[in-house]
Amino acid sequence: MTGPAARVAALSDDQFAAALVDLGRSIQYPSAPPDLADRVVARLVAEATAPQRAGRLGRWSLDWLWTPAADDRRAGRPRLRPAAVLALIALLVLAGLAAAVAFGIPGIRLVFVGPTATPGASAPPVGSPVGSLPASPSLPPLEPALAPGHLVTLEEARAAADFPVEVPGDQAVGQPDAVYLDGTGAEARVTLVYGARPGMPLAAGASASALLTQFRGAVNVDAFVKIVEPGTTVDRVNVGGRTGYWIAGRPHVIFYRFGSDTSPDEIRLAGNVLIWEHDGITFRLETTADQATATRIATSMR
Amino acid sequence: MTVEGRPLEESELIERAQRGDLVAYGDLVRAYQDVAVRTAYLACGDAAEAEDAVQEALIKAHRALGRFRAGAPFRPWLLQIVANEARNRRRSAGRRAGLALRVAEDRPSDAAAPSPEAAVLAGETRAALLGAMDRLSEDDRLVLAYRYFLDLSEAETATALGIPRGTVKSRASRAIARLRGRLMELAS
Repeated sequence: MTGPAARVAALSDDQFAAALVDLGRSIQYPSAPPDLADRVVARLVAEATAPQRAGRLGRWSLDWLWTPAADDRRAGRPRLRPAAVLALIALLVLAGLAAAVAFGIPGIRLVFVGPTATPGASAPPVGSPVGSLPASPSLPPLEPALAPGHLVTLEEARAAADFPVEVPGDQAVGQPDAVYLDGTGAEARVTLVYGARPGMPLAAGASASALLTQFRGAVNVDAFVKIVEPGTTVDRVNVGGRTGYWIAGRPHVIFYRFGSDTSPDEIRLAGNVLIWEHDGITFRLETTADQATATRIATSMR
Repeated sequence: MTVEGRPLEESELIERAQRGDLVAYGDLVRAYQDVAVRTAYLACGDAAEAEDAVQEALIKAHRALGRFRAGAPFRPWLLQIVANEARNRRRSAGRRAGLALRVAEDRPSDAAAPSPEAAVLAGETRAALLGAMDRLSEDDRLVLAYRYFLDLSEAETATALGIPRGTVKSRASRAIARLRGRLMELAS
């Protein structure tokens, strides 16, 4: 009995194993489609949206955005975000935005809508650096609609919050011009407000160049929900060894919650946003500064 | 969408994905999509079916992510879901189990080109092995494919096939014995 089959059958164990490995190497496998991950993520968002769509959209009171945390901890499934928020996304999807991507860091659920988003696209133009700083270190109070809480001193904010309120050590930024506090204890949200700085012009129509908010993300789960329109980019950045996200472009709308209070929140400065987390505290820096400056400020937090 | 910056450790990606970070899950998908497609292709033998199976398996894996034990190896856990999906699809499509694989005529990446005689011999060997593997049971075929084609470890093969780790070695050697038997049948 001769022929290839008989010859292969008679190979030693080692030769036989080698022949199998050789066969495996010669297999022309199909390759994974390049957009497989994007398709999977888009489907996950779409599927999470679908069951909650009916009957929810008609209620425009904002409290339906929030569901008790226990609701979405079913059967070991990873939590996505309040289903009702997804219903809102569904509206955006229905409005012609085809896909959505979402991710979160503690206290933040950022929902990224639209297939046109491309990382690395240029951020919206920011004004030229302001050479002369305001004579007074203090700012006129933010308009009530922009005010993230009530005006306090840094010491009062530190006394009210049950976490160490950090400030940037970066020399170019210096001390905040105003401090706002919303809530107390574990639900405190502290916002540092900055006027013009080098590379950080005042935002159009506002008396600030940066709002730096910090809160205990582990407590205020889903404190921020952002729904971002197409053309907005998200880059993962390194903030002192920790992961942050730089969101450039024009976010569509933000919802945030502290305790039982829920508010819709337009981006105040029409700026870009850097979010990151450190020791359970979530930081959100909204600023007219560019990514490098924002990252430098974030890294200098002490 | 890709998110750039420092690459995250796999364990960190998994933890983030378990908390609902879909960007992190997307990164995990990118890390394992090639081996997943290969695994599915070996289990179902059809390129388009393999692609569909992988996509479906990745959706199912995301749903099951809450049950993934921290610290356990992720690759075989994922490949088990992929392999199950691919096998189920092949069965429900009513196609017979078989390796309808495309095999390259020439070894793809040998430094020295083999002599014509050696190339013929290698081609014959591959064709004979492939024909014989087609006549194996699915269990036998997959244990050999995962061990020798995908180069999975015994532990990974056990997880991917959903069988006890201790039985991989004995299953593989019994499968090889049966493969030799099929070769003898083909030769006679």
